[in-house]
Amino acid sequence: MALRMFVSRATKSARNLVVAFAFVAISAAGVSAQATGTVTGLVRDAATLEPLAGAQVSIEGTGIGGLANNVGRFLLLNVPAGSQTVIVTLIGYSPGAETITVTSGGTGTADFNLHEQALSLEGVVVTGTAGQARRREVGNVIESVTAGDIQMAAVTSFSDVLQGRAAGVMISTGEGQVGAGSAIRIRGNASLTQSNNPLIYIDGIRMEVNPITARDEARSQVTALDGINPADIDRIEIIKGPAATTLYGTEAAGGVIQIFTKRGSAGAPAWTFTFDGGRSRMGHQGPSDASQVKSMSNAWTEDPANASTYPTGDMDVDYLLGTGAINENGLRLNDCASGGTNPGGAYPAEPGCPGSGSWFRDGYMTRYNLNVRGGGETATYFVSSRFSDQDGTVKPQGAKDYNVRGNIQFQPTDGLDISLNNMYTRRNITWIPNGNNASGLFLNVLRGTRGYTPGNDDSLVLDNDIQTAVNQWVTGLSVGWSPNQSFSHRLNVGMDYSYTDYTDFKPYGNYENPTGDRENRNAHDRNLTFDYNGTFSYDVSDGVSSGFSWGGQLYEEYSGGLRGRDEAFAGPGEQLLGGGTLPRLDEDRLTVRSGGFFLQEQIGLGDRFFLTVGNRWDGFSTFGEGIGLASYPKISAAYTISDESFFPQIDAIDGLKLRTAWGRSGRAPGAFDAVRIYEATQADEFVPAVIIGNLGNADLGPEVSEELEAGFELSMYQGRFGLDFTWYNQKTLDALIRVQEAPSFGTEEATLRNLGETKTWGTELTLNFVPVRSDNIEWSVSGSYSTNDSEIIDMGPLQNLGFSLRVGQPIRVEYDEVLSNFGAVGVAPQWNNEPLGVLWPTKLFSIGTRLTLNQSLTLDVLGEGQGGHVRTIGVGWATVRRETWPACFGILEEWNANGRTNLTTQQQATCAPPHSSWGAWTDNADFFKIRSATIAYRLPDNWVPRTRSVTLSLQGKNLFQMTDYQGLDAESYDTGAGGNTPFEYYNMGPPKVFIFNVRMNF
Amino acid sequence: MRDWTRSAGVMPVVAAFAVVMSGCDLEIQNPGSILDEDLTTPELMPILVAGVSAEYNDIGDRFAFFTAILSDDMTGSGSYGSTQDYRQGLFDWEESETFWEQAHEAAWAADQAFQRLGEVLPDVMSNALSARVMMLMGHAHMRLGENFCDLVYDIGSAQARSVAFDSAIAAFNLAITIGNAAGSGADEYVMSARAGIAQAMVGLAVHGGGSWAAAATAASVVPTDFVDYAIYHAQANSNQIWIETHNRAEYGVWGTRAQRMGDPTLTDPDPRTPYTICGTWDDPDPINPSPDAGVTSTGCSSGSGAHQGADGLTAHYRQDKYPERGSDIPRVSGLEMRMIEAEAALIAGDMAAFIGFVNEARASFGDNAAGTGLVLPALTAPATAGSLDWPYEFPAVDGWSILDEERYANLWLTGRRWYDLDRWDHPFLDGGFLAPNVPGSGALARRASCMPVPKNECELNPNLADSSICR
Repeated sequence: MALRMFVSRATKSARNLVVAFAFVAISAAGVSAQATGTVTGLVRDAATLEPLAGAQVSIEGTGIGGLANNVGRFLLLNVPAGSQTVIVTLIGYSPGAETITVTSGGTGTADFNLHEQALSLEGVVVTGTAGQARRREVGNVIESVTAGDIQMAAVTSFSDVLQGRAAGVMISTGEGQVGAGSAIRIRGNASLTQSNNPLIYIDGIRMEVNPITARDEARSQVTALDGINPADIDRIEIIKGPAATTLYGTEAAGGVIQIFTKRGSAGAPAWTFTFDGGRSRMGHQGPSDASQVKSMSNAWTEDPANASTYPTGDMDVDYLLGTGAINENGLRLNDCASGGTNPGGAYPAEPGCPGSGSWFRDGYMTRYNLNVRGGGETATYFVSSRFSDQDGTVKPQGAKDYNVRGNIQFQPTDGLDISLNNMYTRRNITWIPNGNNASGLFLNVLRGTRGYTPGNDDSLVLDNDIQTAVNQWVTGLSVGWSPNQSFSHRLNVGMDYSYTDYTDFKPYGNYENPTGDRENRNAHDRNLTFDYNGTFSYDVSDGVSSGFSWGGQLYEEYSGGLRGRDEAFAGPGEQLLGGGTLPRLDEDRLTVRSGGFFLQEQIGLGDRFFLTVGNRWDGFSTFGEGIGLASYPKISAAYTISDESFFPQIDAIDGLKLRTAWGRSGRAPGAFDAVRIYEATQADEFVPAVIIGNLGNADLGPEVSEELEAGFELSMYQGRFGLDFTWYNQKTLDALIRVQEAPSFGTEEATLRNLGETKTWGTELTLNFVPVRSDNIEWSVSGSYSTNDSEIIDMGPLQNLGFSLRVGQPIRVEYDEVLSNFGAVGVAPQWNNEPLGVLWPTKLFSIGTRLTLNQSLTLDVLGEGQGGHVRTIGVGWATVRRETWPACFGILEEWNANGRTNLTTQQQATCAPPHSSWGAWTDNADFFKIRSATIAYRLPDNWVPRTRSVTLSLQGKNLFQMTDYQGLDAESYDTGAGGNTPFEYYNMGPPKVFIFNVRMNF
Repeated sequence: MRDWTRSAGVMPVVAAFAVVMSGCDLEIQNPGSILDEDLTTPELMPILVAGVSAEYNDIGDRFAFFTAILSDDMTGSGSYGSTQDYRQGLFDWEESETFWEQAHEAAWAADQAFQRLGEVLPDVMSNALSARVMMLMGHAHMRLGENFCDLVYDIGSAQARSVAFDSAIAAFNLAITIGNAAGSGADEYVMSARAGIAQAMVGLAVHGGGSWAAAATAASVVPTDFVDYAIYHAQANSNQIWIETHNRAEYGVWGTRAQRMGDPTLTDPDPRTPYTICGTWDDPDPINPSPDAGVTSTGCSSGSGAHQGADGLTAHYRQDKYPERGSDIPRVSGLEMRMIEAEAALIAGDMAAFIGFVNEARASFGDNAAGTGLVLPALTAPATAGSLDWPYEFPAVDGWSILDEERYANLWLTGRRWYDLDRWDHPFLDGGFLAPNVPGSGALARRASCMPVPKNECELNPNLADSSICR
């Protein structure tokens, strides 16, 4: 029997079985019957020997079956005596089968170690309709990340979970301080002016996707997503692009991320305790040896078409450094205790240098996770808690997180499934001032005596007390109702609420403001979800099925807060707003509502070909009066061609699915954009006033993205080889662009209009391969590669919008200076402006491998690369202007001695303070990092009494990096998680993290 | 089973209907914004007019701040990209966008407000609010005319700068007419408008359509002690010059004419250009200082980079003309009126009258500064008109050098010096530089002295498609 047929049958039969369910008390299950016996056993992951709860177990040909309980055990009663075949199936794993002899009144045992399956067409995913869909029915690609992936990885925040684990999904950290959020892009940027963030749902409830704090003194932002405990995640599904997200409507054009947390399962309480002890360490900042200093390059200099201007393809700068160490102090971050030399002569040790001699420290981490799952026939639960205490790599930076979750499921009657999911997180983050900030640590240290601190005592900036406290509550009620096999309904109601308290306190006596300065921001962010979906499925005729789906959603997002500031306090102490002499206060409240509904019909032919047609209609509070409901159609087809009789019967091929999808989705304009309003302000001697706020546009509608994607999914060698390929082409029509009249009309206020058009396209490839699989050794390799290109087709009357948006160029480019007199010696640089490259990665790739020996020792490594983009090293540009960038010391010496006489234009453009050019400092930012490396050992059973299993592991994060980028870190940039035009400006890169992990199941 | 099926069918219909109804009636709830249709009652008109004042204030300190770096009022010592360019006299059509937009908006907002006043107020032509609006409109046109090389209105074609002065005069005259009808409550606005007319007449005398005699006549009706301020407040529209010099050190007095005039180490520093030395150069050669020599703080009490510029290099000589976040910036003053009369006399060759106006202003300043005990001594009438100089003539002896210095001192940091350099074709524009440690900055062919029509106007205005003013 071909494996695909086996899987299909097993799944169908298992679904229809009447479950005889027993729990942990196996010892009490002695059942005797005439000519029948009992079958029991344990289902585990073959690689890790972790129990697999929920695996479906059946006796072939008998209708007898059940589910493995929460510790992987199963018990089947009244099994006819004789030879019986026990079959085990679980989505994501290859099925197992074993023949045993059952004796009358006896107990037979069948244990199963299931292997993960690279690609399964029978796996189920969530598509926006009421029920789950099998992958074979879905016409678009859906990526999945499982709990197994997360458990093995070096993860310090939720952002880490997605890094390098899904093709086309980019996670960009920005600032490496503990607690800083990340930006997420799926298939890059498609919108010119609106958010390119994906929508995020957790257990069906929409979460806030934008940073929940504004850019602050740390130049970092906090995201709601990082409030989720990674250990609570069961799986994540990523839906990419408008062709797949149509049913999610307006705002879904950037993709959708669905997070599903763990659920309870029947059985006695099964506990898991995890302890992490870790250490973060910052590597050397900047080059320390002349051999590490390289000429910078970007897409423009490397373009063969520009070889006549830049013949070497790069800046071709001789840094005049000779060989060896170029500066014993690096950039004074790693070693500030001793002096050094630069072109101006000797400089002393930093007055405020910590006693360790470095501004960095080893940041220690302790983290405890405890969760329990269990339950009975009608109710199950999953309860977890976490405490995490992480130090940053600069004192006093760090974060303490507390997280609890309670997921409860009820099945009061057949067909009715009620889930109540609750999460509460409290996060206390202490920042250091950093980034593009006159009070920033890196800025002042790197600028040496030309920083802003009195006497060059940069420790003074650390007196600035910057705190963010986040309280976050996510609650959701999910009711699934399947009154019969045809109907299914799903209702999700819930809320994601966060309260953020940010304080920035410069106490009395502060060097910048001797009488003190305090800023406080209290922000509330609340997302409400009401989501109802229904599906009616039936067989039209033999081999023809129909699935009709409908649904409606209401969302409300409220954000509000108070921002206050005061200064000139009377004296020392923890002063509050109002205690000074210059209090100022701003209040914001904003509510945006949207509602929509959809209809969808899916026709299936022979369980091989599925055609899906649907449409969504959306209303939105930010649309103009003349818009009404926005309409988003979709159509997709999925064809498991390998099931056809004409398909060559090749044993090696398990399944081949072809798929294609076309659909539309949208992005909504901002809250104020459609209406003419005045803003309240103050004028003169603090009297109330109004000024024009927005001219309004009654015809303002959503920008609509449409996408065509096609691809295939191939599974071979009994699930040991999987290949998933996707090509997509996306157009954003009616792109929202803020266009003003010619300013002589009278107002500078620009009006948002649906005028633009953009195009993005690319490919995605995912590969999973298990070259070796035996009882004692399993070695798997995985990888992904994706591209994302873009072009701005039209911007209405505009040819450019700022420097980074230009017609005919990719979305978000660095448009800056290139030399027009490259190579000339003794003359000042001359410039032209050209597009130097795209600011966001256009190529992503990952490669991972896992080797497991004797089901106990596992080595797991995941590396990720991002490339095809440039980043301006603003930190170099600005530091050169202070003559304190070590790589430029050679050229600076020559500049100070002889001016430009002996210097090329490119040497001046890079290192001569008055000529240092932002464009010359725009460098290719390609990099590859080992995101996670883990070696784990599962202790032999019974080594630790009263436990089911104990695993020890050593994990490392960002241990290794390859890049030619000349800044501090190719990943860091200044504007935190919300920046559209990233550039590096005295930001901290992510540190290396080492974690010792103990995981106990009991 | 049948009941289940029936209810299962009803449920989605009800839900979908509810969603549709909700989706069709989604209102924005954004408290804080005021809808256009709500601004229709007389009691709301004062806040509308205050908004016009706020619009003007946006350009009042902006022009004063940035043109100070473009002229010889201040040395750019900061890290803003614009500061780095402006200190070298560089200014292109992308940089002029915000200035152009805000100046036009200040005039447009006044025009919009005047129309709204006409719809709401029964006595629009005799109401002090109307007089204030037209006065503010006139000054907005003045900032356009003085600072831009060419003018465009209402998405039209390029026009000469004089059109801005004509527009200003029309607005000022209407302000005077309304103000006179309104009575004493509008006296301040009327006087500001009269002074504004004198400023505009200077513009017309320079660019055609007017005369110095007319300018002097207009100026003569304004008392020397009159000042009309753009009003700033610590908790509202703060004075950007204060922010950029006291709160941070984006520019300073070091290296400027004011440094020498107001040198606090002198026994008789000029009180019109006050400043504090917050940092002293460690390097004996501050024109090309050693990077590690640094600057030693003298103890200024606040602001990041209080002792040195935000460029991490320049010793911070902090202006004290505007000592507070809420310090007001003069729009027009009687001191300037005396300068206009003095310049007219100088052009006419009447040295006695010239020095009379100059000394009247100096005496008036002394009176105003009585609290400080500072009194400016009277100057002797110059023998000749002479010419403008760069480097400056110290002490100023000839007529033009005296006028140059007196206008500089009386109008320092009010956003007016750049226009003086432009209309005088001052030799400072040919190579004068205030950018230490910037080799080559002194070799510019010529510093920018007015702002080009910005790029976005050229792109968005079809009447400028082939205009020579668009580069």
